[in-house]
Amino acid sequence: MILFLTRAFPKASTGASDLTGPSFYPNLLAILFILCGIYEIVYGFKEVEGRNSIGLASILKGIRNPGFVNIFLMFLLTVFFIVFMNLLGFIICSYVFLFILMWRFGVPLIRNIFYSIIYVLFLLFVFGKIFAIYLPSGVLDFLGL
Amino acid sequence: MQEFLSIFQLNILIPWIIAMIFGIFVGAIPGLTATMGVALIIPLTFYMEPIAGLAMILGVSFCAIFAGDIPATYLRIPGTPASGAAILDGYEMNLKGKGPLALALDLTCSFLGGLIGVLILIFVAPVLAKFALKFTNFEYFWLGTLGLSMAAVISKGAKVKGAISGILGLIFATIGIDITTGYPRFTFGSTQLMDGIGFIPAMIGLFGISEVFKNVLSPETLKAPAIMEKIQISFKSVGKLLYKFKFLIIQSSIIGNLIGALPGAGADIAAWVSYGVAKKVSRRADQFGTGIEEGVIAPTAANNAALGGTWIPALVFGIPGDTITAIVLGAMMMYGLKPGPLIFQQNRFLVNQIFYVALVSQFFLLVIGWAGIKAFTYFYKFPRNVVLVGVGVFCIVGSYALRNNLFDVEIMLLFGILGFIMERCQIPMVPLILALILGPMIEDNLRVGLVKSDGSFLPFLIRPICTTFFILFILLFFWEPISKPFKWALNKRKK
Repeated sequence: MILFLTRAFPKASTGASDLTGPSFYPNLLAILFILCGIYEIVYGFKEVEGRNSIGLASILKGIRNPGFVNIFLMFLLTVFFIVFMNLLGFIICSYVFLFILMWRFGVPLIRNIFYSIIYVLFLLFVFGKIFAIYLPSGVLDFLGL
Repeated sequence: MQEFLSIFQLNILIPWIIAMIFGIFVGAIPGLTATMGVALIIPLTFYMEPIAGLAMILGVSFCAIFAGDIPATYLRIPGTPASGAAILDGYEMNLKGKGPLALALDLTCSFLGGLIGVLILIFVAPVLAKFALKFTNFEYFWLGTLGLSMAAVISKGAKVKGAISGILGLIFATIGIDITTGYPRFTFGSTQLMDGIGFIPAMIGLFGISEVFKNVLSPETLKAPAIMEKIQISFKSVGKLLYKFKFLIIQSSIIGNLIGALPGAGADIAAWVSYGVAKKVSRRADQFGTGIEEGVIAPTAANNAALGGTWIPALVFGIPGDTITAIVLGAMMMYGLKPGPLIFQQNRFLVNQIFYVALVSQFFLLVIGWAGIKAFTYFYKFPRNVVLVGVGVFCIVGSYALRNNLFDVEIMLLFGILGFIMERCQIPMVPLILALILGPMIEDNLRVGLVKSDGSFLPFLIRPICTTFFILFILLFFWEPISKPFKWALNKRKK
């Protein structure tokens, strides 16, 4: 892909021919990467020989592992944070993130509510007040926080 | 003297001490590493003067590396990777009822090791900086390449996997506007990518969120608080032991410092090598691993001494000695400082301040570390699930806070996933991180060197320092095939 993309890069106007152009160095890296990849594939096949192959069933089993669900949930909640931070505001987004994940990880409800509030207040205080970083208020703008 | 007094201003002292307490917290909680602690604290340092930020970073790293030994001794879980070697005898001592003695030795040896490491840094770095002034683009290209190669070779896992990680990092480092020609490379029309990939969000992703991913993968361990008995520290016999093993402390500190100075090696490798050497030269080598004092002294002195060593290449050549100094270099650039030999001439005041902060941090470590050991009776009762979720939200806010930009959170998330996958595939992350920092330096020096030599690669090979670096580079990757015929001939001769 790198080798394909760099074909559109301009040639060097000064100095030593194409060696100093913007495509030379990425191309060099791409070639080195391909060589390392070939080595790994060849050795990978040698190592796998004699072992049981990884089937679709084992992959599906791995994906259904509750641990992977945890990771997927964290990923989704981070995406939610990115998408809705400006609309809903920092307080709601961070609270939703903390509450849902702690619920998923088995923190009892009352403690969950308590820890989530403490975290949000702490972050607001440290980042928002002490370091004066702009944290969007979103729909809670009327609170003036 | 002015530099020394200046570090005791309240605007430096308060964040510095808070950061050290934070470092103890980060180090003593398994799953949170010193690098992660530094990465999390970086966004806060941008709003301070550089020395206050650097004091915080130094404080976090020294304390976290020490504190990693606390769960290693009591729970058989290393708080940070650098405490892996301390488990062997520390935990065995604990089982024999000598846990408090092991922790007291940990603390004092971390203090002494750190002190020796920083003293070596203070005396060696300026001398090396004078030598480094003779370097041109050709030498700097090799220095960067060699540093990265060393990281690839030394890191856990196969050499080729290390190389893949390094090359991947170098490729990421090419994203953005090409400095020489001004042409945007691999930006796909995105204005956000014009400045390249943000180093700090990438760092927080690789070390912060990927670590959280790794931990939440095992749900059964999430609820487990690491409760343990009350800690009673015995300092009575420590003095005698320190005197008895004074040469071992010096030996381990020097080994730790030297290994720390190798780019990519870091405190964890320093601790293991030091433990191995101590075992080899000890009269009671067969008792190592059964809970003897030497087995605690060697790795704990070495891992803190390594931290001083990692700052030598970072300050003198602008090449990070480990992942922490890799982050530090990124932060220093954002503070408007350019690490390298010239910093010793242009910013000597700040360099001296850094030296004094590192030195004084060791004394603070004694007090804060002692309090930390005591306090962790309560901290270990804090459930991991609450801590991990907190780290997750800190990663998000930390990466956003750098530029008030949600794009940095996206970068953090992507690098978090990449880090997680790399760890699953046993591809080391250290070379990738070093490559992100060293990439622009390597490319710039290669291309400027080629312009100077009119397209010839010869000066990269025939200049004396370049030739030495080139030979070292070849030996690093091809030592095994090169040495094979010699070994074969030697074996044949023996027979």
